[in-house]
Amino acid sequence: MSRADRFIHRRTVLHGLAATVTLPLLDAMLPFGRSRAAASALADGAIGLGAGSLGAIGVGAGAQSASALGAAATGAAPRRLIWLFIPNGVEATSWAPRGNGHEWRPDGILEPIASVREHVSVFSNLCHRNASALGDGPGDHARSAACFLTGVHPRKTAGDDIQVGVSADQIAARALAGTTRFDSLELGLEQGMESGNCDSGYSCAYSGNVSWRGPSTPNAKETSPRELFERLFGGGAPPKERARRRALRQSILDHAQADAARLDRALGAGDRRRVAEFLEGVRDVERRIEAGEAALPDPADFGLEAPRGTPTDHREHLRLMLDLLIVAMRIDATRVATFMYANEGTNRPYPFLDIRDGHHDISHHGGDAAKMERFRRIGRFQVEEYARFVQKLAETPDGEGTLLDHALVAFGGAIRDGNRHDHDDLPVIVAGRGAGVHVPGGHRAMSTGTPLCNLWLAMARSADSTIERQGDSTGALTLS
Amino acid sequence: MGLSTSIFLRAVVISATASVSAAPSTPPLAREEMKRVSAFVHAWCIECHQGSDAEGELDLNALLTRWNEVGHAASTPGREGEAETEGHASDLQRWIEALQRVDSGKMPPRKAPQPPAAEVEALSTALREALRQALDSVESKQPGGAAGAARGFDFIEKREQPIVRRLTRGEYRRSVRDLFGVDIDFGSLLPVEDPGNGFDTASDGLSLSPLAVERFIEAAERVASAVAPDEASWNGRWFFEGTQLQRAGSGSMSDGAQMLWSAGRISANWHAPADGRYRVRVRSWGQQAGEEPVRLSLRVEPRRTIATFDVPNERDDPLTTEHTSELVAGATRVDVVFLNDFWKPDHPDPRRRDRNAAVVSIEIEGPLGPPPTPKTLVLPPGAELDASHVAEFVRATATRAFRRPVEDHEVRSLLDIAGEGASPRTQLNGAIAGMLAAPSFLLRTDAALPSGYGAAARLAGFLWSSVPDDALLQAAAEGRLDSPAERALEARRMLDDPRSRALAEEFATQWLSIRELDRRVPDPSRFPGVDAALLASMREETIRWFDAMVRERRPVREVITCEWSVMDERLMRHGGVGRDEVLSAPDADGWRRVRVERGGVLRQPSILLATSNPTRTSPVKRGRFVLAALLDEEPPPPPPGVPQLPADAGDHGASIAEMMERHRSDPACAACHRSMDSIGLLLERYDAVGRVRNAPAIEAELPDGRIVHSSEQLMSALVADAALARTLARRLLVYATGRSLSPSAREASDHLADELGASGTLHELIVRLVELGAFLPDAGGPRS
Repeated sequence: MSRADRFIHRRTVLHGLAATVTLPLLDAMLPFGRSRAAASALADGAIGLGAGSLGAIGVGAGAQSASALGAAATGAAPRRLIWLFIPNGVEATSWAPRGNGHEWRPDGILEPIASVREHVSVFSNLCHRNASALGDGPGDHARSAACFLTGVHPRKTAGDDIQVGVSADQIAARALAGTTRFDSLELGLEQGMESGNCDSGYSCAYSGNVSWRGPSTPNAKETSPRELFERLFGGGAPPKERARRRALRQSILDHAQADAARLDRALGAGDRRRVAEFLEGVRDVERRIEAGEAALPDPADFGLEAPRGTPTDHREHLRLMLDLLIVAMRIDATRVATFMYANEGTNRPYPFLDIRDGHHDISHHGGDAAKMERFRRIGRFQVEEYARFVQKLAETPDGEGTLLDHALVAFGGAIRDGNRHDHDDLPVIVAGRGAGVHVPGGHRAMSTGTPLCNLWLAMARSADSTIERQGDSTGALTLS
Repeated sequence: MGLSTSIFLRAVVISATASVSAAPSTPPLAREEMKRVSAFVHAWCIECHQGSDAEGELDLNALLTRWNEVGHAASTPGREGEAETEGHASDLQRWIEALQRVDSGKMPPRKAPQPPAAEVEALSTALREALRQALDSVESKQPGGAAGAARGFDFIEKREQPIVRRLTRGEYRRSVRDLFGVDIDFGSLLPVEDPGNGFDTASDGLSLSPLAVERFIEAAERVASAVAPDEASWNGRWFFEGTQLQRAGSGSMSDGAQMLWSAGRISANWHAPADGRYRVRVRSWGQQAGEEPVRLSLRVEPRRTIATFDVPNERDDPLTTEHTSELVAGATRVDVVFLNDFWKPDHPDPRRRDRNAAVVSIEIEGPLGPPPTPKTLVLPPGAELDASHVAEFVRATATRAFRRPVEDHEVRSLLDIAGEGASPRTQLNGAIAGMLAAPSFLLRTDAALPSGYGAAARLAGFLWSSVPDDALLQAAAEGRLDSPAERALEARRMLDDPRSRALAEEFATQWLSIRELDRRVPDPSRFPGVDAALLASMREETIRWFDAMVRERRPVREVITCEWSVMDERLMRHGGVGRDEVLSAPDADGWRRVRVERGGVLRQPSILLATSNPTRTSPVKRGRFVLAALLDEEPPPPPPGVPQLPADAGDHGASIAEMMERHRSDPACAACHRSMDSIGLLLERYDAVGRVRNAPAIEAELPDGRIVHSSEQLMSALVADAALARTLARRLLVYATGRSLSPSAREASDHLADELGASGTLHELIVRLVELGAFLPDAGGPRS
C-alpha cells in the first residue's frame, strides 16, 4: 500500500464516532511531508501565548513529540482564520471607539458589537501605507482592495500585466496545505466587475478580489450558495456512483495533464503562465480525490438542503453564505477563508435598509447630513452581520470548545473615511481566541502608523510560526 | 617633495579633474539607444515637457541630462554609488511611465502632431533596451536596490510575449453549443471574468485560479452526462414504499401502505433527471364502498395527469398498474390522486360505508431506451452506435474543439479515459469530458497553433465567440488564411451565419457598457415598473439592433443617426411607441422593427440607464460615455476626494446644470468637465430610465472645439468625420486580438477607418479588419 493509501484522513476516523472525541495526532494522520517535529511547532502556536488561554498548547517548555501528542489530546483543535472585508470605508465620525481596553464604549457604527464584546478586540491606528496613491494618481478603490490582505502597492494597469503580492490568507493556506479538502475558500456576494471602466486605469481584478494566490493570480470568489453547497457536499449521489465518478475524474485529470505537457512544449518561449496555473489547479483537484471523497458528509446531518438559488435580498444572500461558511468549518472542509461584503467601489443600493441610492455615491457624502446618516446605516448593518456571525461561531461546538474559541475572525477594510479615502486608522476588529493566540482586549489603540500587516502577520503565524514578514509588516502584533 | 613629484601630482590632479568634468573615459549606459530616445523626445515631446513648468511635471530634458550624468557615474570607478540614489530610481520609474503612455497612444495628446507608428516602435525598442540595461546595472551592484523602479521591469519584458488566456464564459457556452448541438445554461458554474482594457477577451484577469479549474472540470463532466450519458448513469430506478411516501389529506399508515380516508394525494418526492420516457408502477388497493370502485389518477408536477385507473382490489390483493409517459427533465413529484372519496354512514352493510384508497408503493423507471447521443453525431441510417462511430466522432470533434489537427495518440488517449473494456457509449462519455477539460480546449493559444490555425481560431473567436467550423478548418489546412483576401471571404461567410449574433451579444454589450444591465436597480419609488424584465428587454433591444446593423450592412453613421430600432411590447409601452410606428410584424418572440426618433445608441434606454444613477440622471456619466465610447477620448479620472452631487437633484435638467456650474468655475475641474458635462447635459432630454422629457437647450463644446446647441447638432457633429469609425475599429481590434493595440496596429486600424469613414458599413469595417496583419497572432514577434 502506498503512503497515499495509508494516509487516514482524520475526519474519516472521527466520522465514525458517536461523540466528538479528540484523537491524538497519529503520525499516519499527518499530511505528506510533515514530520512530528513540524507538527509540534504548529501546536506550539504563535507568539504571545496568553496565560490561562483556553486549551493550553504545548506550553512552550520543550517541544517534544510527547508534548505534541499531549497538546492534541488536550483539545488543540485546528485554528481557523477568517477575514471579512467591507468596501468603501466607513462614516469616520461614527467609528471612534472611546476608552481603552475593556472600558471602551461601543457606540455609533460599532454599537452592534456590544452583544459580542467579550470576544473582540477593536483596533485603532492600523494603516496601509501602500493603499495610498504614492504618485500613481486616482484609482483608490482598486488599490485599497488589492492592498487589503497583501500590503502591497498594486501595479497600475488596465489588464495586460496585473501584479500585487501574495495575500495573508494564502500564506496561511499554504502553510496548512494538505490538511483539509480545500486549502481556502474565497466567498463574496458580487461577482466580477462590469466591463468597461474599472477604477481609473486599474484592472477590475484589483477591486473584485482580496485573496491573491500569487502576485498575478487572484482567487476567484464563490458567490453562489448553491455552487458552494455542491462543493462542500457533492451532488448527493450514492457511494458506488461517487466512486465511479472519482475514477472518471482522475482519468480526465490524467489526460488533461498530458495535454498540458504537450501544450507547454508547443508554447516554447511563450506565455506558459496559464498552463502552470492550470496544472496547479489540477493538482488541487487531485489532492481532494486522494483525500478520499468517500467520506463526504451528509448535509442532512446539519439540517441542510441544497439552496435553490441565490437570494435576491442582499442580506439574505450574505447570511446564507456565512452560514455555509460555518458549515464548511464544521466539516473541516477548510480552515482559511475570506469573504467580501461587496466589491470595492460598489455602487449597490440597500433596499432592505431603505437606502435607494448607490453605496459609493453615499460614501462620498461631502458633508451632507442625510447622506452621512445613510452611510452610517450601511456601516451598522455591516457590523451587525459580523456580530451575528461571531455569535453563531460562539454557539457552534468544536472539539472541546466552540468554533470561535479556535478561530481568528477579522473584519475590516482598507479605507477609513469613505469620503476622504484615507488609509490610516483603518476600521479593524478581530474576534475569537484562535486557540490561545488572541486574548480579546476591547479597544486596543496601537501606536500611530502601525502597519495593518503586523496584525495579518500575527494571524498568519498562528498557521505557520516561521513566517517572518507579510506585506509591509514591521513585526508581528501581540494579540494576547 | 621634489619638482618631478609635484609635477606628477599636479598632473594626476589635472587628469582626475578632467575625467570628472569633461568627456568620460568610458561611455554612458546604453548610449546609442538613448541617442535615439533623445532624438524622439526633441522631435515630439520637448515642447511641453521641459523646464520647471513642464506639463504633468515631467521634465524630459532634465531626465535626459541626468541619465547621461548617471551613465557617467555608473561607468566611472569610484562613482558607482551615485547610480543607486533614490533620485535615479524614481527617474527610471518616470521613464517607464512615459514609455507606457507613448506606447498606448495617450501621448502625444490628440491635438498635437502625431509621430508615425514606425518611429514610436523604434523609440519603444530603444528605450526598453536602455531601461533594461539600467535596471540590470543597478541590480547587479546592489541587489534589491532601485526596487521601486524594478516594478516596471516586467512591463518591459512581458510585452513581447503572445498572450495566452482561458476561454470566456460566453465562448465556452457557444463552443459547447457548436460542438454538441445543445445550448446549456451554465448558470453560476463557470468562473466570471474580470475584464481589462474594456473587454473580457483582453484581460489578464482571465487567469486560472484553482476554483476556475475545478469549475471547468465540473462543467466538462456535466456536459458529457448531458449530451452523451453512458448506460450506467442513464437508466435509473427509484422505489418508494409506504413510509417513503408523503400524504396530503387525512389518512394513516395501514400495513405499510399510505391510506387516504378523504380526497387527497399520496406522493413520491422525485424529479426527472432528463427528458425521456418513464415507466411508473403503482401498487394500490382500496376499501370499496358505493357503486363504483376506487378511482385513482396518476399525476406529475407540474399538474399533468398521466393516467386514470380503477382499483377494485382490496387489501389482501393489491393491484399493480403500469403507466408510461414522456417527461421533461426537472419534472417533480409523482402523485397518486384519490378521485372519488365516498362516505355513506347509514348504509346497511357496515363494510360498504366508506371508500378509501391506499398506495403500497410507487416505482419509477427511466428514462427508458438507450441513452441519447450528441446531435452532432450522425449515424448512418439504421446503424447502431459502435466503437468506430465513436472514434470517428471523437476525432472530428476534438479537431474542432482544439482548433487544430489532432494526432492518433490524442484520440486514443481520449477514448481511453473511460478505462479498459468500456462500452462505446462509456468511451464517448469519457472522451467528451476529457476533451472539454483539456487545456487545448480551455486555453486560447492562437500563436502556438500550427500555421493558419491561429488565424482560424481568431476568426471564430472574433465573429462567433466559438470554435472554428469545418469549412474554416479546411481553409486553414490549405494555407488559405495567410491571404488577407481569403480571410475576408471567410469573414463574409461567417458574418452572414446566424452565429455572428455573438458579436452583438459580446462585443456590443461590452463596448456600450450594458453587459451587467440586469444588475442595476433604478429606484422603484421614482421609477415604478422599471423591473428586471424591462431591463432584460432593454439589453435585448441593443443586441438585436446591433446585430441588424451588421447583418443589413448599415453605415457606421447610423450608430448615431439611425431612426429605427427593435422592440418588444414591454419596450414599446415604456417608450410610448404606438402602433403606427411599427414597421414589421412581430417575430416568434414578439420583437418587431419600429420607427423611433433619431439617436441610435444615444436614445436606447439600455445605454441611458447604464449612464445614470439609481435615482437620477448623470450628465457626467453620459458625457463620459460619448467621449470614451464614441470618440475614443476617455477623459482622465477625477482627482481623489471629490464629493458627489446630491441624489435628490431631481429630474429637472436646470437644477443639475446649476450644480454642474461648480465643475466649470473651478479651473482644475473645468479642463475636462467643460466638454464632458455639456455633452451630457444635451442628453438630459432622456431621464434616468431612457424616457423622453423636456429639457432646456444647452451649449456644448466637443473636445476638438466645435460648439453644438442641441442633441441633433451633437449627432451630426459625431458623424461628420471618421472619428466614430476610428473608435469602432480600434475597439473591435482590441476585442478581436485580446490585447491593447500596439502603435502599428493602431495606425493600421485608423487608416482603415479613415478610408471607410462614417458612410462605410459596419459589415465592411469588420471584414477589412480581419485583413490586417495586426489581426493575426504573431508567434514570438514583438507586440502580437
